[in-house]
Amino acid sequence: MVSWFFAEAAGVATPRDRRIVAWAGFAPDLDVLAYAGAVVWYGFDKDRAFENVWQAIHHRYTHGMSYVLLTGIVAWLLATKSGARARIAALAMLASAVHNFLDVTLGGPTWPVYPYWPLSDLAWGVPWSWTIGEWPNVVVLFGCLGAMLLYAKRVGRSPLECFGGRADAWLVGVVRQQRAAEASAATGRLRWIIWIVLALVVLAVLAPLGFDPFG
Amino acid sequence: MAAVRALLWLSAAAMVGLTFVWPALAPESRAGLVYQVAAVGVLAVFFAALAAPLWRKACKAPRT
Repeated sequence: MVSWFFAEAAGVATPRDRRIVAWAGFAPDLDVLAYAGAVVWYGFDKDRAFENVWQAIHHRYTHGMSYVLLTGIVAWLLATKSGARARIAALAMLASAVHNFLDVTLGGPTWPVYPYWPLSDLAWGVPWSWTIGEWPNVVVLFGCLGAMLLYAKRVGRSPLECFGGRADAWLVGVVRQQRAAEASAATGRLRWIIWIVLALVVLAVLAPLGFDPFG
Repeated sequence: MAAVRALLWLSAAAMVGLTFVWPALAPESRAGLVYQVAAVGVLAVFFAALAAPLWRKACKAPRT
């Protein structure tokens, strides 16, 4: 969400390029896919998946300079074919690097990043880093959520643009209290997709923290 | 507004420095007050420079 606002504040003109910068900011956390795979591999024993995979890989391979450069190359290849490609690639790399910095300062002291992997295994974290539940993270989270709703209402677009124009139009229609038919072409199927994606994102965030609704 | 955008780019670049340059130059300084003050300052500037152009755009948008 911060990355989408970053692209918007930097004046990125097209939805496609804003999406690229936004997803570049999220990209370091794609290592969560390895954890999801490990949970399935270990027969849904999330403790073993956490110990054997998540603790070993989280932040190690996707939170470093090499991955930031890779993100820039992918962004350059995907960006709208115009003179702004280099700028989009630079913004994508910055968004990815900002993610690393926010993980260092707002991700808790127990999850360092590895800025020079694969050249060096130097771990970089700070002991005073705020954990997920502390007030700075709560302020950022609710600030972003509030900004998303207000911005959608006033300007007519939001970070939901990352999931496509129809998802964005749906949110804009909801916050502007337009009638369903006028709000967007969003169908019932799209709404289900949005809710399922939202639920998966919440689970992906909560699962590594040890959240267990049945235990 | 160009100045605010420049500040946004600069604060993001400072984050790059604090994440990818500082560890190489002073790996033992992670707990130091200097790094903490620099990091918190950069965070504050970044979020302020992020919010300002968005706020302006939202205020200029026609009311619906």
